[in-house]
Amino acid sequence: MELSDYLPIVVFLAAGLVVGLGILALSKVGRTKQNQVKGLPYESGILATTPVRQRFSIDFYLTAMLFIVFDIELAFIYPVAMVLRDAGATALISLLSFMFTVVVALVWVWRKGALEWR
Amino acid sequence: MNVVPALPLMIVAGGACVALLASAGPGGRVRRDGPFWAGAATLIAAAVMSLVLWGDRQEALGGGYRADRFSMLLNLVFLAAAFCALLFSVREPAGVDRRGEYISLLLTSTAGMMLVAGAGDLIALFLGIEILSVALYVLCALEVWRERSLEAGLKYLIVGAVGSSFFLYGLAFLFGASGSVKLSVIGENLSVASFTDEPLLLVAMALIVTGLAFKASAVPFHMWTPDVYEGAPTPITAFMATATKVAALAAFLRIFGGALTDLVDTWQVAIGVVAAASVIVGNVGALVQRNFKRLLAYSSIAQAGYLLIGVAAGTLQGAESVLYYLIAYTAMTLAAFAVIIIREREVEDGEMVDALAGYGRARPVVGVVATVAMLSLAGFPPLSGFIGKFLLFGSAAEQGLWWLAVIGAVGSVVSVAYYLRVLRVMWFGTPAHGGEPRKLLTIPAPVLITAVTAAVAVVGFGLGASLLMDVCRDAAAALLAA
Amino acid sequence: MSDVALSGAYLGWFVLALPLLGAIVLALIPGEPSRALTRVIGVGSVAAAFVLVVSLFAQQLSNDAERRAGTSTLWTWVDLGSLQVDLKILVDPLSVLMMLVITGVGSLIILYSTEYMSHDRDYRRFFVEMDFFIFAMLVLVLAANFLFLIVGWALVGLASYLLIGYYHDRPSAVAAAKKAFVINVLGDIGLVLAAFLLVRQLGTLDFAEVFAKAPQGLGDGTFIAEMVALLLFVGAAAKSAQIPLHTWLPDAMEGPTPVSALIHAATMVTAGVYLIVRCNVLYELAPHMSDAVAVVGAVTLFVAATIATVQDDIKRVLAWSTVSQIGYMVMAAGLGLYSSGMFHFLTHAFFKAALFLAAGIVIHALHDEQSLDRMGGLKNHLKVAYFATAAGCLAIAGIPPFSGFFSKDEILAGAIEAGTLGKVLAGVGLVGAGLTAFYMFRLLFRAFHGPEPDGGYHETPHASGSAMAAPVVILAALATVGGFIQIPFVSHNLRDWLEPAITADPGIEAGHGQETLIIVLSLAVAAIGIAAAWWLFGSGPERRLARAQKLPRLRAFLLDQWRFDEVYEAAVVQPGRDLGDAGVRAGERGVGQGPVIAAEAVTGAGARILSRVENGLVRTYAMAVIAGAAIVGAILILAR
Repeated sequence: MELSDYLPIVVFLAAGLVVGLGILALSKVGRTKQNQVKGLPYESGILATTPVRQRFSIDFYLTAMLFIVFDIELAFIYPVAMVLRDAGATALISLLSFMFTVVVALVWVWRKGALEWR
Repeated sequence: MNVVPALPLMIVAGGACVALLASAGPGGRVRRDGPFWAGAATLIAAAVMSLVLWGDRQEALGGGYRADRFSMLLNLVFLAAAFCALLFSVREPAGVDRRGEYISLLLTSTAGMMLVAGAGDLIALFLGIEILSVALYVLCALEVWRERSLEAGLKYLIVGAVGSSFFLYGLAFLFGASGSVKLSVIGENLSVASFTDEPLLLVAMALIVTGLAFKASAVPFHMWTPDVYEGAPTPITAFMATATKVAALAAFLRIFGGALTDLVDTWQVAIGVVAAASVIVGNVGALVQRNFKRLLAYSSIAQAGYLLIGVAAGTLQGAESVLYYLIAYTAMTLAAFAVIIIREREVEDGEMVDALAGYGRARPVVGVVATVAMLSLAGFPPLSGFIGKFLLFGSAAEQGLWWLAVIGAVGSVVSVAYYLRVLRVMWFGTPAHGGEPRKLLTIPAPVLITAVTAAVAVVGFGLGASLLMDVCRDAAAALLAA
Repeated sequence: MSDVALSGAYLGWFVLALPLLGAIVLALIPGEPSRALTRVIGVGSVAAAFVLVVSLFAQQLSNDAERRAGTSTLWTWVDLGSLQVDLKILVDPLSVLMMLVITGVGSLIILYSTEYMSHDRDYRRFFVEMDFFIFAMLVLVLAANFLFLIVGWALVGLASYLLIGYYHDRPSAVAAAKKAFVINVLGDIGLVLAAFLLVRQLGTLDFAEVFAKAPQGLGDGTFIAEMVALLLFVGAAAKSAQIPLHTWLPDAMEGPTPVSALIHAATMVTAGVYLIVRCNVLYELAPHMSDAVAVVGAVTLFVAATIATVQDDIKRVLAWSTVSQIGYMVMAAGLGLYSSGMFHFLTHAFFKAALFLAAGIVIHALHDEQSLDRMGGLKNHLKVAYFATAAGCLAIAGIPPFSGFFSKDEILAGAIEAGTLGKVLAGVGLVGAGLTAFYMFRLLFRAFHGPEPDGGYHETPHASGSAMAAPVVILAALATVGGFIQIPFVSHNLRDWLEPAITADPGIEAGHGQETLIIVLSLAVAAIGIAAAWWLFGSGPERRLARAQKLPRLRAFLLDQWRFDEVYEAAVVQPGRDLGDAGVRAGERGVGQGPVIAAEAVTGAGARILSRVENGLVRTYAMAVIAGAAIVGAILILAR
């Protein structure tokens, strides 16, 4: 491929730039009027009734994150399990060492008290 | 499946797990001392294993990892740097407070670096870069009670993600252009067909240079360096300044010196420009720094430039010089950081250059260590820094890259000014409050021993250069071995 | 230079090791060692080295010319396969001559320091640094290849830095030390680049091999040959304080006086001359550069001599006089009069060391007073210093039979033979000789003759002890008779002796006619210079002060030392500083500077970190990465 073959990409980029910058530029043209409705968080939407910056306990995040971490591991384990018969011992050993790592993490998390709900 | 060649790597990764478990283990003693001893034992075992594996190339993990002289030599450098960081940390707040995590992350990062140096394909290379980076992001922010530390970690994470994505993108293009992820196959494929003008390849090279230059903190990808070096716990900064740079340069050599070596005419100028810019910006920036850690950060930018000059030469001699200088650089930088670590414990503003006023006279041993480190960084003969620079610039001159050699040489003249300033303050300066330097504490033995060892190594590598260079030549030759 | 030859070459390593050992042992003695012990080790190690050098010299004398040079290798230092550099020394007549001066004059000066520095708190540090300097200087002259030479070159610079900054509580001393070091490092870079060129062209750095291969590998008068000569001269000029790299030497007088005598008169500053003479093969291949070297030497000798005529600090007069005299040596080397240059180096080492040490006695006696304005009539108080200074002045002014007469006239007579350029430069040299006689006798008359300042000294200047007097007497005696080793029309002992080292000697020799002409002319200008000095300064300050009003502009210009420092400050130092500031400002604050300052004002320090994170800095960093990728890509496309 020659460099010229990339022309479509350049055209695409240029078009994107023109549109983006054009909208930005148009916002500067003419006068803008401010009114109260325009200033609301969701213009023409449902008004917020509770404070936006609501606080959650840090435990929510912690638990959620740990859940994701350990949940994702399943996604790795399942496909290997399906082909284990063909893949043989290599796959089994690899998977076991992977699970060992996960267990180490779990033990550490547990011992550090991250699973306690305070 | 042959796992033996990857054993050093696995030992370190396993050690990381053990250290982590030890910190969560039963009994106060295990929790307090376990991680340190696990870490030390791991590093020593891995170093022994690396020495055992010294020899011709052996592949492991389906060709993803290559144990050859190149990777084994660099393994030893990484392990030595990690060991020094470990010793530096004995009294470091983060190292005491979260010992298990600290040591475990240090080992994880080391494992990532070893994977980079021994990578046989692009996937292993990227994995290695990410493993070492992610562990470092956390390590930077580990002193959570210090805002600067948090800031450093966060900045490094965000900008590092940008750098990594560039790198990954570049690897994808390289795969697309060459049709393989295996470094050896890429080299073969590219050598048979004429790929010089292939745009995919040019894009791939640009992006890979970006990603790796970011890790090596070369200009213009260096801007995170001063902030992160300043904010991170000092032993971690020392580790980053040495081992990370070694890993990034190892990746440079693996990709450009190894796989893409036939295209040297294409990438030579680009890497040369990055090198020249680093030398200029790093040295000029360092001139006005008052904070020693920031000064060393800028100096490390300049040093990355010197190293890239050797990469740009594109010859075996260039690669050999890079390896030699990497080893010398590691020793002298560790010695320099040891001085900060010692002083930091004693006074609030210990990382400022001025805090060292009159320190050389009060503590001659530390003063001599700093002097050796600074002079060697400045390229003062007969220290190893001089030999390394001489070889690097010489290899560039050999290839007709005179502009690079001259910029490098002039850059080192400029660098004398700021390295010398540290020494001037240290030996000739008078402390702000007059009389003796404020507050001297006993230096922890491991820190002092490490500092002295590093300084001795700087001198030794200089005088025994030919021995070390023999080793480096074998290692560089492994890059091109089929 | 054959490799067999001198069997005792290995002794060179011991010569090297002794001063280094002395320095290390002295430095490592715990606590504060007694002064007697410090003296014994400090002086003894150098004196022992001198004895060894003398034995080497004796061995050489007993050998015939081919067997006077030898090498000794310790181990292979750098081995790149294609390039091999050994840790190797070369002992030949040239290096032995240098070593004789370094260790001989060196041990005299260190002996002198034992008394001169006796009031100093840091007694031990002084001797450690002096011994270290001697070691470095010996490395420089013993090196058998360019890499090892660079090591010595740099170590000498470091030692000089330490010694100039010896009085570290004086800011001016520290500044002078820094200046000297930076200029010296500049010279190092010249050497390193020259070494690259040699490696690339010849594939070796070994002196013997380089000089053997150079005629074929570099070619005669080619661009490469001229470049090598130019780069080597950058190194030589920095070390030997030749224009335009001379500005550090007068400032270097901030060091203790023995340091000035040893480093900045007798040894280190002549390293440049040594380098040119050592590389005589390379300079014979670069005719244009050789001429340039000669011109630089001539300009330096003239400029420095004019500046010396108005200095009021006794050490500064001597410093500028040193710059000027080295100008003679460099000019000689540039014209191909290598052995004459070395001859002048030898006599200069004697008379300049004698002059500096005598000045040291004066300064010591007057409690650190260095201004000529506060001196006068000292000949009644300080007999030794007076006679030594007088001998030195007669020698430097070129009055027979003092040593300077022989060496200076040999240079000038040889110069006449060296083509048109040589004739012009000989003229400059003659003018310089007149100026030299003038400013040296000005110093002599102002310090030692005339009335005492303010109608007499508060305390009678005390004469020095024997440790200071003895070296001065010995050096003054050598300055008086040292010239007889090589007498016009009669003998060329030194030239014959150096022959194995100067393989490319063009063999310029002055005829009797020129020789006589030069003797007459130089005696005449010297007489004029001395007479003028007597007329202006012989009686007392009245006539001098009256005359000084004439030509105020020229006087101011000379007092400003031709304004070299000002030009450098404006052209190099300040822009460099600005660049550093600007670079850091742009790099660190960058786009986010405005908002950061605003945020700083409002929320104070706590918010600053936050605002820096959120206010575009990381964005700037990321932007730089993206822009950098684009630049690298562009270069890849453009440069393919």
